[in-house]
Amino acid sequence: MSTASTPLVVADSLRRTFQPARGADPVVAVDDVSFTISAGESLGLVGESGSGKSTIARILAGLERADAGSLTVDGRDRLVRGRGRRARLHRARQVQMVFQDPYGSLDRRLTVEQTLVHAMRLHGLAARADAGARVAELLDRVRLASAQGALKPHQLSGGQRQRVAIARAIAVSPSVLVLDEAVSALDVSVQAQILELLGEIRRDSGIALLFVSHDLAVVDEVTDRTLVLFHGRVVEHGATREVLRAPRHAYTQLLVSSVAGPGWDPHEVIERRAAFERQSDAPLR
Amino acid sequence: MTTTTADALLTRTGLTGRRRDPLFWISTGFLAVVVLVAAFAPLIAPYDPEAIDFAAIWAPPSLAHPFGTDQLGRDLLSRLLLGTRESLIGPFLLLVGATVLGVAIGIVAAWNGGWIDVLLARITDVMFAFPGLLFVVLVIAVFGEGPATAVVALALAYAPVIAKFTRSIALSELARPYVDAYRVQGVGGGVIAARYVVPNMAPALLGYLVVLFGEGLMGLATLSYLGFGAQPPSSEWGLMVQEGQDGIVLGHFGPTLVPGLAISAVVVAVNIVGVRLSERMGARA
Ligand SMILES: Nc1ncnc2c1ncn2[C@@H]1O[C@H](COP(=O)(O)OP(=O)(O)O)[C@@H](O)[C@H]1O
Ligand SMILES: [Mg+2]
Repeated sequence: MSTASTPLVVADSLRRTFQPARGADPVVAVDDVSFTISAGESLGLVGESGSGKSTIARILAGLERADAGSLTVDGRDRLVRGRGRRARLHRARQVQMVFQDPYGSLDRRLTVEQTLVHAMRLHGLAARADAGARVAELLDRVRLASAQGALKPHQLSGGQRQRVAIARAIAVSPSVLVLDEAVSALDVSVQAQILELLGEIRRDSGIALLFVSHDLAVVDEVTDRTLVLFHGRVVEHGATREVLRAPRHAYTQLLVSSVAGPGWDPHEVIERRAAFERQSDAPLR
Repeated sequence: MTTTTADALLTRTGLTGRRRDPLFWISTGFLAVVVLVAAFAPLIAPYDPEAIDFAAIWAPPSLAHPFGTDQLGRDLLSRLLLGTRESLIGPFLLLVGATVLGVAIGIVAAWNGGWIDVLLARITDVMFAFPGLLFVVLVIAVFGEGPATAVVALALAYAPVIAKFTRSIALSELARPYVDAYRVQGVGGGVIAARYVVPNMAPALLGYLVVLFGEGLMGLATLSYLGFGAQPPSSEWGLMVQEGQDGIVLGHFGPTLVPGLAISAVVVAVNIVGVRLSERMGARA
């Protein structure tokens, strides 16, 4: 059980190596990564493409194993997996995940309602009699009209699909929600709506977030603390405000200054990258 | 309830398709008639298909015998109608058997990789290098001739081909994030594969299997023609073609032509229906 002193999620020295092909050099995707997330807290994970963000997110969600380190949620080990249905369902109720591709992450054969009922039934959360009411409640929480319950994924917009994916994830009332580039495929205005929705859900349910994004502005919006990853390693870690406004590590400074905006100079970014590569032992990919 | 493939077919082949695609509806209508004939053949057939009449050997088409008679004076129409059963049930059973086996092996190979994948690759290599008919004749040599062995032998010959095709489409289907979403929900691997991935592959599989039905029908007819499948006095169509051969040199084409055309018509109709159905399902998926 988590108490005031032990955070909800405790990741300690996680490590994951991939063998891209037979005989090829192994890629260290996650290298000695430690972090904690308290109940109700939102932790950001930023870094360039290939820095290991998704691998960490997938380890927490139980989709990927770790080679070394430990990971507990609510005091329970998530790396040593109990076999069998009960253990699987229990792990699922601890951590849920929302993926980048809103269309691909939904079963295209099922209507919105079928998707949500399926998620709840699996966990014994909706008896036949009140399934309709539970679905209506979920649709309302993600600001979808009840009529949209009868639609299939191909009949929805990208933002609506992601709302369905969020509804499916919170249907089992998990204590942690992992979002891997969950708004990256959406238009800016739709992004804003989804971020607002996530804020509401956090306030209402006290759910903890692991929010993965390469987009610093988005991370600034939804997270309390941020972890900056570079080549699978944590190079900076602190309150999101401070990390993004007064970055201490050279890599974070580079990330922050690389954001396109008014007065943005691509040449300067390229130059700073080159300078950073020269001074760091590992080259930027 | 989840949407079944049958539901999908009904909604997706609604009235709009009829006007646009007469060939599809003609083929569907024809196959429906063939199935009805198979069901009610004994009631419709004017004669006993095995009744020999030496007074009417090789009779030309007439009111009494619309398609004429064969070398034993048996009514060709009655034989054709009754033969529908064995001629269609054989390929159907063969396809069901080969599909269950092939899809299961293919999806396991795609999901697990490892030794099953290697074994499947070896088996399909051998099957492709080895003349299919030779394999089938070998199986029949071991287990004895007859319609059941012919069906089993062809099913065993088709299973690796189906497995290889299934594996290739399963690889891309399994990479879709909805599969990960089901895993995060706590659904077991076998259930994900059987209940969700296979139905999502159905449009692609169906188009392929339907072509195999035609091949299976012809394959079984060929085996009967060679004397390895259906045995006299059966009026299985392949056997009818074979028995009718003696008449060709004497100018009696009816006994081979009638069952030969029936085989061709069913194969063409099944191909048209199957390809169109999978196109329609795929277009909406
Ligand atoms: N299944 C995998 N097989 C091989 N390499 C992988 C696999 N998943 C990730 N990697 C590698 O691990 C590194 C980190 O990837 P990822 O965690 O996806 O980074 P990010 O999400 O930050 O872009 C990359 O070099 C990537 O190529
Ligand atoms: Mg990623």
